[in-house]
Amino acid sequence: MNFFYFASPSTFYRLAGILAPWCFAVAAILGAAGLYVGLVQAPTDAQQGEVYRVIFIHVPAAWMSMFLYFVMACYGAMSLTFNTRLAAMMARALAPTGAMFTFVALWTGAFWGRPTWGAYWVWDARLTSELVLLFLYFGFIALGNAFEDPRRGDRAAALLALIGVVNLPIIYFSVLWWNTLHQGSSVSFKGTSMHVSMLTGMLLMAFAFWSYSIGTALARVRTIILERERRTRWVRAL
Amino acid sequence: MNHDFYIWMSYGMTALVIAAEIAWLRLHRAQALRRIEEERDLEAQD
Amino acid sequence: MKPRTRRAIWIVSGLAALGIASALVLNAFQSNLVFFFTPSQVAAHEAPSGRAFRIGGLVEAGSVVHEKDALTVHFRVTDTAQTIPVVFTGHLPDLFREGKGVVAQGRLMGDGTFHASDVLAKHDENYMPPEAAEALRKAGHPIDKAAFAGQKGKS
Repeated sequence: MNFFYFASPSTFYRLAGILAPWCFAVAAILGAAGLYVGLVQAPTDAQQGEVYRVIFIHVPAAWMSMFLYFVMACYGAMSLTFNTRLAAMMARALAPTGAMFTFVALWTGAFWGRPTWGAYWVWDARLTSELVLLFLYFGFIALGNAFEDPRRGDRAAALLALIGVVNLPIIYFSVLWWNTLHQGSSVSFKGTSMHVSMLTGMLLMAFAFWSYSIGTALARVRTIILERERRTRWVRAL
Repeated sequence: MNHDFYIWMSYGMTALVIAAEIAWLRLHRAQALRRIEEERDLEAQD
Repeated sequence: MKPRTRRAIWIVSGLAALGIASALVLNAFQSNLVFFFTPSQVAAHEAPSGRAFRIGGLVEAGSVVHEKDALTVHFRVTDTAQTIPVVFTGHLPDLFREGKGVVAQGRLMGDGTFHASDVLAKHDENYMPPEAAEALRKAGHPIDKAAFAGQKGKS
C-alpha cells in the first residue's frame, strides 16, 4: 500500500466515515464515566467546597483549546510546505472545535472565578492570553473564508495559525512568568497536586474531549471534502 | 455557600455548545449533499 | 446572499478578530502583564505611585478586624518579608481567609495604608478532600503557601 494512500481526499473520506462514529461513541462513554467520577465519586474540596467541580470541564477544555491550536498549526505548516490539499482541509476542520473549547474554557472559568476569586473576569496574563487565542481562532476561520479560491484561503489562514503559535507558550507559562490571579497548574509534567479521584475524573473528561474533537474534525473534514470535490467523478458517483 | 448556580451555568453552557456544534455539523453536511444533488440533476437535464 | 457580499463580511470579521487580538496583546504589554505587586515590591518603590494598582500576598493570620458597621474591614497583606495594612469597605469574596492568598486593588495612602476598592481571593492549585487537608495541617504542612509559589517578585 502506498504511504500516501490515505492522503487522497476520496480514500480519506471513506476512512473518516468509518472512524468518526467510533470516536463519538468513545467520547460518550468516557464522558459519562468522567461525569460520574467527577460529580458523584470525587470528594468535596477542602477550600472551595462544591464549586471546584467546574474543574472537570474547565481544565480539559483549556487543554484542548491549546492542543487543537497546535495540531491546527501543524496541519497548516504541512499544507504550506508540501502543498497538500488534505492537510489544509484538516486545519480548517479543527478550527471551529478549537474555538468552541476556548469559549468553554473562558465561560466556565468566569463562572468559577466569580464564587472563588470574587470576579467573573480579570485582565491577568492567563485570562487575557486565552482570550487572544479565541480571537486567533476567529481570525483563522474568517481569513480562510475571505477568498474566492479556497486554496488561497488555506494559505492565508495557515500563515496566521503559524504566527499565532507564539501565544501557546504564553498561555501555558503565564502563571509562572508573571504575577497572575489565576493559580498555577495542578497537573504538570512533574506531578500533580490533586486528590486521586479528582484527577481521575479530570483525565477521563480530557480523554472524552479528545475523542470528541477527533470525531468532529473527521465529520467536518468529510463535509469540506464533499464541498471542494463536488465536481469530481468519485463524488458524483456517491 | 451555595454554588449550584455557578456549577449549573458551567455544565449547562458546555452541554449547549456541544449540542449546537453537532447540530451545525449535520446541517452543514446536509447542505453539501443537497448541493451535489442539485448539480447532478442540472447536468442530467442537459 | 451574493458570494461577494459573503466574502466581504468574512474579510471584515477577520480583520476585526485580528484587530481585537492585537489590541489585547498591546494593552497587556502596556500595563496588565503584572497583575499585582507584592509588599516587597511596594517597599522597594517598584509599584506605580499616584495611581491605583493591585497588591497581592497572604492575609496575615490574626490581622483581620471588622469595624462595627460590619462592612469595613482592616487586614494586613504580607509576603512574609514585608507587610502592608489594608482598609476595605465592601463585600469580601467567599474564599477570603486569614493565611490565604488575596489581591487588592486600590491606592497607597501617605500614611502607608492601602485603601482598597476591590478585594479578590487568590486560591492555590491544590485540590483535596477536607480530611486530607486536615491531615496535612496536623503534620505541619499547611497547603496555603503554594498560592504564591513560583510567582515573580517574591524575594
